[in-house]
Amino acid sequence: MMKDLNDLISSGFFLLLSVGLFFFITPNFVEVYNNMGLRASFFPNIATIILFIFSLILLLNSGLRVVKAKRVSKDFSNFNLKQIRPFFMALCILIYIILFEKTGFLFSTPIALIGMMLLMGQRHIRLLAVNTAIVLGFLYFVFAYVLNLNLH
Amino acid sequence: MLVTIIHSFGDILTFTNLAAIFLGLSFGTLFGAIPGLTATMGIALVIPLTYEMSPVTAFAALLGAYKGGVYGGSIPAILINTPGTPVAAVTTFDGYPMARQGKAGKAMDIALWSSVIADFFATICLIFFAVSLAKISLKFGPPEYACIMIFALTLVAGVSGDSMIKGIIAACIGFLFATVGLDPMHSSPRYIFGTVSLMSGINLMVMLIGLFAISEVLIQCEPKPDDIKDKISNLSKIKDRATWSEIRHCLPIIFKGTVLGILIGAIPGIGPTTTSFLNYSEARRTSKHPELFGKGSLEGVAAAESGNNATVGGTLIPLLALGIPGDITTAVLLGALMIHGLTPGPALFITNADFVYPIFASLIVATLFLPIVGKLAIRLFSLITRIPKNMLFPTVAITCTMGVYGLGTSFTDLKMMLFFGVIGYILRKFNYPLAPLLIGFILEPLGERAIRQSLAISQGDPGIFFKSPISILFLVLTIIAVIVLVYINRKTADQSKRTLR
Repeated sequence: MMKDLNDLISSGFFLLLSVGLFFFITPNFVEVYNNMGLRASFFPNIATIILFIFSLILLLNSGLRVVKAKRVSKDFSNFNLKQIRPFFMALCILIYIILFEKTGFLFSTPIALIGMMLLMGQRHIRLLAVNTAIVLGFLYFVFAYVLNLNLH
Repeated sequence: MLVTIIHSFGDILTFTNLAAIFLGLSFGTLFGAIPGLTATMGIALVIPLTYEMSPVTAFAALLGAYKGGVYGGSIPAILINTPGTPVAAVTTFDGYPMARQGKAGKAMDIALWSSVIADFFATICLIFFAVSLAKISLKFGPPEYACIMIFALTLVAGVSGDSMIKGIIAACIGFLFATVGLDPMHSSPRYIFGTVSLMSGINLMVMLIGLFAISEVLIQCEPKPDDIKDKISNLSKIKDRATWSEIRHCLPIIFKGTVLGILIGAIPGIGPTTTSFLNYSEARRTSKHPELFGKGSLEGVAAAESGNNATVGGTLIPLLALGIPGDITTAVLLGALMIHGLTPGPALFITNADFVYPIFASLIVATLFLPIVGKLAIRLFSLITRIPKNMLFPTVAITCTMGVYGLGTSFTDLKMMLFFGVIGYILRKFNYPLAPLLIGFILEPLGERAIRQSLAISQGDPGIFFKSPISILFLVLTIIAVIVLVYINRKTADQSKRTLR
């Protein structure tokens, strides 16, 4: 049941995406007209049409299964904060990228690494410190000395 | 020629040359095993170190780095679902599921021996058939490339897992991502939304790291029920090695991958990633257990690794015999040859025979060193499995971020990596396979360029695709592949229905 609902949601999204691309974005391509071949929009349009057809098939299949099912319910009582940890991890990576851009490698990396390890449940201070020092040293050696990159 | 090669072993078996090969291999393997750092990057870094060396020693080190780089990518692909190099992307399909089943050691062993065997035979082919194979490869023009790409697209069905519809949807998404940037014929901007940095398109490595590594980090952040925790702890059972009978069982696939790798590697412009995809598809089609592919099949790992490693020998054929670089890595090698005052091409075999034959000998020695370096690398990188996952995956996230930054020192690339990480995570949560997306992304630019060039040559007449015997052969193979895939899918569906009853 949950799988069908997921298929319904995702196929609906892809259906809307294909319609949006085909009617609103791809027509705005700057085209070079000639009689010798295909235009820039040809392959994106082909992919969009195939995406539309198969999303529609999936939508109809999963929709029928959802309608046939007796009840649609989801139990939210077991929800806990750990379930949205991937969201926080993605946020951590985004913050790391922004911090890296603004402050450089040496400042941002220990903060991000310790933050991520704490988020994933590592509480042992010695392990946090040792791993951070090893990763920082190894990456700094490879990227700053071997690859000669500017890490600020 | 055989006598000349045997004599040239005498030139190569000196301490300096052997050390150069060993260090080149080790350096390449290390670079291949760190996500984001490619074999090309490794070779480019070795070049300045070779300025003072003789051309033979320099090329022994550079070719060692090339071989090591191509092999090294398989280690993180198996252990942490992160292809170290783009060519190892196919290895993740079965390598990582094997690691999750506690067979990481087996998978890495098969990857190593497949690489060694394929590499050895590809080198032999390079030595004996370089000139004649190079002449055949010149017969491939845009229509032939286009037909190869159409044939390669049938692979989508083979890696779609349980739902072919979802596989095709994922392939279309990959196809659309590949069209971002300037179009290959008229440079019209497509899907760039006014962003200058998107004009050059999406970098394959950025996409690979995002889709596979970052999405894996996000998956690992989820609270896991006990059974899944057990599967993760299985990763530490690294000492489980591949047996001789398992290697022997994979030998037909390895040999098939070797032949395919050499033939496709010899055609400039296709590259090892497409080869490993094609070989994987071919192995699945002919396997007695196609249902195991994508779920942890030894044959799948062998197919992927033999295909991409054999391409190393293949790509050297047009480089040495004709002076044509088949991909970016051989283009870097071509530059290195010129730095050392050598002009590749048919004349190289006559005017610089004292260089060519010792280089062939060094390739064989590098192949013989590969198991030693590979075993050392497996031991070193196996330590990864002892690290608790709440320390390992944050480290993977940081290493991947730095690897992507190292590709072009672009912060836009880092944001793209995260974007693809989130896309990969969402697709995995909704049970969409990532492999077809990757296939669509890799094949679209090659296929689009070939089809549009062909039609431009023929003034828009599609009959050009049916004129050459090579094109017709690949079109016939495509039809056969589709029929076989439909048959396999029906058989699998019938089997699962019977099991449900």
